[in-house]
Amino acid sequence: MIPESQRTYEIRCPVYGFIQLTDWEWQIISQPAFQRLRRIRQLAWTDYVYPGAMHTRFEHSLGVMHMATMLYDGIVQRSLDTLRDELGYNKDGLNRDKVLVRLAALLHDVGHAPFSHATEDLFPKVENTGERFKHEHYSAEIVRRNFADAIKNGGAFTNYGLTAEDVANFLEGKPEAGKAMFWRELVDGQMDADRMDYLLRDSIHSGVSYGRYDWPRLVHTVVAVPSGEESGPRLGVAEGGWHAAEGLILARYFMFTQVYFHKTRVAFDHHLQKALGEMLPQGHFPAPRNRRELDDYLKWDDWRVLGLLANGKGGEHGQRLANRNHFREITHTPETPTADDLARLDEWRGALGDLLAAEIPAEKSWYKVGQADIPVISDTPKFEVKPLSKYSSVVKNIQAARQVRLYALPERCEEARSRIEKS
Amino acid sequence: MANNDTQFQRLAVITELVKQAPDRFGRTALMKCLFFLKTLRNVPLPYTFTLYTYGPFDADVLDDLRYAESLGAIESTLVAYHGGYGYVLSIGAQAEAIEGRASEFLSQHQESIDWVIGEFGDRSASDLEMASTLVYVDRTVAEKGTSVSTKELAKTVNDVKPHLAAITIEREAQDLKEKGFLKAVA
Repeated sequence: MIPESQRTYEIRCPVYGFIQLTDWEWQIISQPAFQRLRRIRQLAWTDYVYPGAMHTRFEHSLGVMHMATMLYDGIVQRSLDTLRDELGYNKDGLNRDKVLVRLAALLHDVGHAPFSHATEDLFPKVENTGERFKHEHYSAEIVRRNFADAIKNGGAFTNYGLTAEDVANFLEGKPEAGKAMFWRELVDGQMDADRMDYLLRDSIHSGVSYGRYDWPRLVHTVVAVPSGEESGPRLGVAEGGWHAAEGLILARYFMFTQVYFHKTRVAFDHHLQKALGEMLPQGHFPAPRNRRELDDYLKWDDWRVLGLLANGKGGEHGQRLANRNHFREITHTPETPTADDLARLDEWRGALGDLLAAEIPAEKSWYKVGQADIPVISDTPKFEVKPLSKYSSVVKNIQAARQVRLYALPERCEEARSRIEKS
Repeated sequence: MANNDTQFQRLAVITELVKQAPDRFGRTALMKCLFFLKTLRNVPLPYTFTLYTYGPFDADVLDDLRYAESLGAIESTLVAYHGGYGYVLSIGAQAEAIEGRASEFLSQHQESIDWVIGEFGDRSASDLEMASTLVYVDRTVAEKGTSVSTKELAKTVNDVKPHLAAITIEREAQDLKEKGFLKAVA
């Protein structure tokens, strides 16, 4: 008979084979607020372009926990001296923060809105700043209010006295996280478990190869390195892993251009946002300020939105989603527009006039190409730290994606294209 | 279009900071000066800074910097630092043209830009990292409506950055308090 403290569960995963959970973590994922992630698709309406992309935030969250654990173990194995000497870690501290990182990775997405990032522009604004709440705010508050008991009741499992507040503080980057802040880059950073997982997972489900990279090599070369300009250690890779890191950056670039910012995919995001804006009371989601608002928020998932769409809600944009009658792209700028390209964009806008149904800029996309310049520590006796862009001319030359796409109604797209040709 | 206006406002502020900064103004200095502009001077920059071991950070700043480089407004040069390498920023041939696209916004906030460069422009990256972390932590305490002593504030920052000496952080906190940059320190 296996004691409860050592009982584990295995869940099959299309990326890693199996993901292992403790009995305690099993209780946490059984909470309704986590099970809700089964009803939130990872890539919104992407299946209308790539039919296989029907996966959910549920499997991604498990994957992020698994990837974060592998990265954590690798860093501890290779950088123990740095962690001990510069951050004051001992064995118990490392064991405690591993549990913290696993939980934070597991719960980082519990605050997602229906259809993930596609509807985040419908979050309300924070009163004192005028800026919109982000899904991270919802995640932290949901952890505090909906997971407190499950996290506290570790049962026979050694949970190091961790509380929901510890997990929420870590996710939000609150100073109360203390030296565990070092690990925050594993959950939300330039080379984090989140994007390392979603690139692989989105690639598999979409049926494309663009998001694949040599992740086992990265897991086996990630280290704590001295900072260049700043003080203290940060996450980087050993020199032997720089091609794998290069592969990760290229995977982001390819996935952005081929999947995340696909012209039809982002048109569906536009329709979804407009349709949901008509369904929501006051046109936006409840704020993450108190129990009542959060309970209301958690009632919104893909099922509810699809039910409303099936009942004819969502106005004109709801109809467009239901009938796959999306706006059509008329033209777009290059991926990185020059000043001349931007001047031409202004001319196109003028020429299209009232035929311009929507303008979708890459700048506003949650999925960016990103300017991750991962520190690489050399194998030479000097152990110099250089940015990846010093090693990789490919990474050095990747530009910021600021493409802008212009759309017209399907029934007027020929007229719109004609105006662009004449402009 | 509004979206482009906002984009060029950010690019213009970045360009102006680099233009006014002394030599060896790097990415860390740029990141922290933008944080100070938003936090201490209320310049409406849409960045969302969150705390890491290396201080307040938003990856969108690096994205904007890269685009400013693509447009020829900024140039980056790799230089050696103690223990590693980093980038030093300088003005490119298209700087004036980029600033011209957001001239009204720039003139509205010129005084704040002058101020942040005068106050922080010549400080080292590690100093800026410490100062910005102190201000960040101070604001999170102030948001709760509570207050702390300089020593307590320094202790919280030291917990996040155990590699720094407590006395150095406390000295910096005292300096920031005397300059009136802290809200929660009694």
